[in-house]
Amino acid sequence: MSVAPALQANATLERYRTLFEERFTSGPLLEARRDALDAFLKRGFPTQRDEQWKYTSLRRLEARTFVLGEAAPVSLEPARRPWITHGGGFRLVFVNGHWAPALSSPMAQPPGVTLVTLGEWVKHEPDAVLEYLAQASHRSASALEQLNAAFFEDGLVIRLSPNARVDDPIHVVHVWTSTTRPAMAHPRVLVRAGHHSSCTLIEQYVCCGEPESFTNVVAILDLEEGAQVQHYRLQQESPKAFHIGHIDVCVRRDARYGIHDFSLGATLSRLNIRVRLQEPGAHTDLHGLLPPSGTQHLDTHTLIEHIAPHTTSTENYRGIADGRGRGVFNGKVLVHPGAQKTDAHQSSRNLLLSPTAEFNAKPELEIYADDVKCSHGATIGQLDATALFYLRSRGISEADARVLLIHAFAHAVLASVETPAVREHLEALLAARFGSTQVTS
Amino acid sequence: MASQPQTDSTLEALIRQKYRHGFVTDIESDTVPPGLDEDIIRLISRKKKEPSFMLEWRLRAFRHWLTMKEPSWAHLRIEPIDYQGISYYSAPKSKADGPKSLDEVDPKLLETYDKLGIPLHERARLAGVAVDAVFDSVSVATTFKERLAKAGVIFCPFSEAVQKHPELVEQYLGTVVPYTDNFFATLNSAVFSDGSFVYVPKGVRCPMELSTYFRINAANTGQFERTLIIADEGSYVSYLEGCTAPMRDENQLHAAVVELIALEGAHIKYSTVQNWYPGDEHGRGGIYNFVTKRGECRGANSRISWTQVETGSAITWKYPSCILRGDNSIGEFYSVAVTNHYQQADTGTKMIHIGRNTRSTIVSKGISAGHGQNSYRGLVKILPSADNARNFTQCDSLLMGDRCGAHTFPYMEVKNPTASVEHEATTSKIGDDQLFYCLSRGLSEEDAINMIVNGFCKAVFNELPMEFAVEAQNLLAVSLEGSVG
Repeated sequence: MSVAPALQANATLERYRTLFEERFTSGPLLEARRDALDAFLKRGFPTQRDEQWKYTSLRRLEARTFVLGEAAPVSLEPARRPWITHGGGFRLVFVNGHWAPALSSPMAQPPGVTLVTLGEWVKHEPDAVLEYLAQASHRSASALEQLNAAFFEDGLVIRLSPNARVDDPIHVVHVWTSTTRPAMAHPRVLVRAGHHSSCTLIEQYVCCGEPESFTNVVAILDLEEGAQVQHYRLQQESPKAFHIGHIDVCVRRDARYGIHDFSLGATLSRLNIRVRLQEPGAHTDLHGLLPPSGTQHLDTHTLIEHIAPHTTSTENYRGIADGRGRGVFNGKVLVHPGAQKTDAHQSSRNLLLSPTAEFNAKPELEIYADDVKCSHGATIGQLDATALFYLRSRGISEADARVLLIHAFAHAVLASVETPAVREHLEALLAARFGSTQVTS
Repeated sequence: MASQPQTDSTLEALIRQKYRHGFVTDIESDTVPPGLDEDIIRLISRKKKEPSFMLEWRLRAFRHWLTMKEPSWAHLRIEPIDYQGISYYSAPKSKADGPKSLDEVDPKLLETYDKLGIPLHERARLAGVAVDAVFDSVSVATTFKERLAKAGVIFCPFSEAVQKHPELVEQYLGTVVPYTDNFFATLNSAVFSDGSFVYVPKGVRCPMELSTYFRINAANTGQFERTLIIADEGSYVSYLEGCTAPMRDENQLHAAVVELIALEGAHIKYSTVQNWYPGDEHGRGGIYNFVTKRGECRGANSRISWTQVETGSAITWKYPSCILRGDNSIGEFYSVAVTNHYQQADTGTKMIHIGRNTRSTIVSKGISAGHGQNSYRGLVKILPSADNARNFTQCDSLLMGDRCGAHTFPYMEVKNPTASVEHEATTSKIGDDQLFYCLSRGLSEEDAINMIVNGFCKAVFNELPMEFAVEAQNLLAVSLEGSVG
């Protein structure tokens, strides 16, 4: 019984090896790439026997054959482009995993910021990249992160110099165009925020048409003392797309990191967020919305590590499962020995709107220090019947009342979005998804 | 606080307090050689004069067990267990043909119970408790048989039930925990020595609380009890299980299985106070307590309540669960788990909602002190058929000392949109302000901590039968007093 799947799995993994040999034949990173590939092949795709993947099966992903994405022109006229087009700031667009200078704002460096594409960085400073990869491999050791380390080609490196305050958001767009064959990309986003610097990062994953794609992105952020980063992540990939994301954040003394995760698209999406509060005074806020509908499977795993004393975190995730959608939320708070005076609060609230929808929530606490305040709450339920009744008693139709209540539920996460352009964009997306009513004031 | 150094030394003294119930009764044991193979299983079955269906069931379980691997998912560190180094059967020699009354019971045994303060003699009647005392593996005394018999309640050692009521055993054994269930339950199915059997007939309210004391006595003898409780339509039974064990240096394996079956309208209340030897203050020795407990609300309007106070054992690994199959059935789980020194506990519950309008409540209180590691692991699963299912879970942890750990792993799986599932958890230490308040009112620090801890656990203690509630509070005081740093 076990022989056939094992053979099949091997065949899949061999495809990745062949692909690798075709694409990467020389260059300073070849050795490091090959090590990462071997590490990935040794472990293969995670299976549901792995506790971290208990509710998410990658079999559909594993069964498909992807080629590496190639650069292509985007034919859509500017007004119909699927990303946030107004709001200023710097925009960097990657098409099928490759930097598209024509669509990006000119690489004029704003004061205090160094923006380099990963491709350029590899070309000009291969030694620095190698050193970085060696460091990163300690931090991101999962099989899929190794897969990224083997295949990454492009991405973005953002360096903020100390005390730099960048008011305009830095907007990174990853766009898939319709491809003849299913394609994959393994981009990387690196952020190094010097001490007391601040910026807003908008990461957007969009598509033109309905391409069958596989994105496996790794983002690594380092926040030095007193740095502040607001990170908006809008995942709006095509209904045939597979999206896997890894975010690894290290927060130093008195620095603040906020993530706003809107995983809206893809047939299968999995996001791993790991935030390490490394020094006293570090703080993080996690906000997220998971609205699986149709046959979508949306999964977010978060891990907040309180390593130093006097670190704080809050987490607020909401799920709205409709149709045959399936949502998975796993939020773990890990308090290391000695991390006294930790204050961690987590809340996961989830709505089930249809009889075939499903939600699996697992809020975890793992605590090895005693002088801490940690709490988590999780609920799974339906719209409040009394609230529905109240609205109907005020002459609002049931359909409208439901729409109102769903929007109100999602608003708890949306309210955390401070950048107006992002918020308007999200409001439009959610109105399209859950419907809108005339009643909204 | 000003009195810090002084309190610290009293705390130290209290933390180092040794296990009070540590002693070994010197009784000749009728023990089979260590090791496990089909012959041993045949021997156990023959010694117990079992019908052939039991032997076959045991052998099926054993063959399945050989194909299984020890689970490793729990948040526990376990020394490897040598399953061939364990003796799988041990019975007090003097059982002969079974004592008819207390006078015939080995006086040394009675002495042991006396030291433990078990109400077997007069106290049994006073407390209104029928004790089916399991000494190592064979039951030696059963009281109040007549009163129970009058009501039609069958309450007897498992081995007796196998002989006297084979039809009931064959019908219900393994229907809640099949012999393929998990590594330890399968091992138990193959080698179980004895346990209790309860059958409450239709419409009967059991006239007294049923009670068993399990005790591990002979060294190197794993205990493998099997308890089966069947509550027929409209009946009620409350079952108490309590235990202490003598001091031993080697780890003793304990893998029990408890199956509860509640038919239509029946209510089973199962309470446990577990105080097995937890190992010394360096983590040496102690009992491995790997238990599979599961109840099935098979009929409509049935109800199963688990209440447990876990203060003992080096490692506790148990998840008393409820399968809520009948419509409107109710499952409840109330737990206090204490880990001190190097104790580890991974405990919690599973609530599987299958029937409509099923409800479950989980209240779990974990207390960690010293180097103790305490995990709550729970599953609430709402299947698509469970319309209007409702669950409420609360699990709170109290930390005492900076080297202990408290962990929460709740799983929530919901496949029905009319269901409502809530989980909340908090972790904190005893508040300085609470302590200060109590001290300012003239309480000693010990009393104050005791009071606060007891208040923390009150929601669970309220669910215990009266006698147990008192015992549980004392136990908690013994296990924890002064652990606050």
